[in-house]
Amino acid sequence: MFDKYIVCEEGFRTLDDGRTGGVVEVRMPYYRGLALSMVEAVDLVVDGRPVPAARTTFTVHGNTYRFDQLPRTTDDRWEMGERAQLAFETDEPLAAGEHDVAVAVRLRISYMPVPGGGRDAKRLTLAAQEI
Amino acid sequence: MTDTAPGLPRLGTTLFSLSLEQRKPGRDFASLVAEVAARDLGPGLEMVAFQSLRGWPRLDDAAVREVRGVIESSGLTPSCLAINNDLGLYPGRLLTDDESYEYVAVQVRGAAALGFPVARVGVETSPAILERLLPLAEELGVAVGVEIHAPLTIEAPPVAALKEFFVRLDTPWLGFIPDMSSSMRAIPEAVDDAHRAAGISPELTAMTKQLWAEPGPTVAKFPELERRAAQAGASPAQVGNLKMLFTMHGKMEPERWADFFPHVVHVHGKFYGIVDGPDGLTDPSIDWPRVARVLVEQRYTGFISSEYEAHAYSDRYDAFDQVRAQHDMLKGLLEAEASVVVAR
Repeated sequence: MFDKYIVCEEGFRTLDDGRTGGVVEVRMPYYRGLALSMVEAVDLVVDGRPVPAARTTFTVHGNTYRFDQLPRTTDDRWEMGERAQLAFETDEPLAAGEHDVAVAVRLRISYMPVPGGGRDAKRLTLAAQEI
Repeated sequence: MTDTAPGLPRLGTTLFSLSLEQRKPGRDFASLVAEVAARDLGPGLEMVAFQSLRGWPRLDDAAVREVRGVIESSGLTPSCLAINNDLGLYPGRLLTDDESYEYVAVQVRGAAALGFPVARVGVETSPAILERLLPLAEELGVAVGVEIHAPLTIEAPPVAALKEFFVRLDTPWLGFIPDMSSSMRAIPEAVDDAHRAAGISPELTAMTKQLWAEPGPTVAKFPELERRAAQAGASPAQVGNLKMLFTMHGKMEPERWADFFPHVVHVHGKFYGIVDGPDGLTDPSIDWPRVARVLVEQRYTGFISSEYEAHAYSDRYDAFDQVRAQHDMLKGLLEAEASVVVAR
């Protein structure tokens, strides 16, 4: 039931630090918060092209992490319902208009018989940039 | 409050029932607890610490005061705090016994600080860890309960080991938390919604339900389920959903809950939907008259936390209304059963 809430309809935007790419906001597909060390992957596909994890960062309540830092991060948590910011770099600037965004989250939950996580895909609209 | 007669199990709600409600914009902890009270869904209040309490288990004094204040002003009674033993915290290995003890102990202390008389763990918290927790539980006055949830039943080896362990220690500070997911009579209808959303054909869902309903232990049916699902062309993700149908719904006879007594510290009134039938309110997937009989016969006077879980499958139903309906049904059943037991 949580899968359809993973990709947030709002908050899709371009990076504002001069790099090319964007930010998509994502929610935890689980009934409770988990330490970031238990977030094994947040795979992103934009317009059919997978974005390598090395070109993404993950931000919860203002704290930004590279994905290779998450396995060691046991003292910060992605809370249930919290919108995390998945920032990603692209070679070309993102055009204004519609983009297909697919996100697959893998969670390591020790007592579950099947791998935890979920996936969601939505068509999001990127507003034209104000200059 | 929907108070049951003295000497009977008491009703209550776990905020887990309202998982989808908690995600709505503008919904905060205080307003949720207040609404549970306003809708008369107490007197017991349970919550999942890692769901409802931001920053858990490191709450500072101000946060503890705030949570306690919210509960006190609601008039609800803290019944149980669900805590977690995340054995998979680090990649590539499980927590050691020392780490696991510390991970749980800090949360038991937190439960005490918030005024909860019971802390819930799962079977991944072994008897060895529980034995180490006992002095702390006793000192704090917080009972540590191990939830028995589907696919576990009384026959499962870890449950049998716990039974032996609780009998040996015979302390009020350690015990079981029966969850009705282990003793179901039918697969809830809401599962159909989830399967439809996952692209699983109605035929495949019907086949899986039929296999579930056949006699024999569910675990023995996994190979057959995989074979038939593969034959029908199910994807790995879909096969995962079908397996969850087996693991989330246990088929133990409700009477077997009697074997868990007297070492029961709390009860999870797990359910997936109450319907208004020709004979009044009824639960198609859990046989509550039989459950109520066991609880009354065992003279259980603790809380039954209404735990509505169909939100995991469908958002078609209102969780508040569902808990209301379960409370009305349970109050009637418990009081009717009490008069039968007394008359005997």
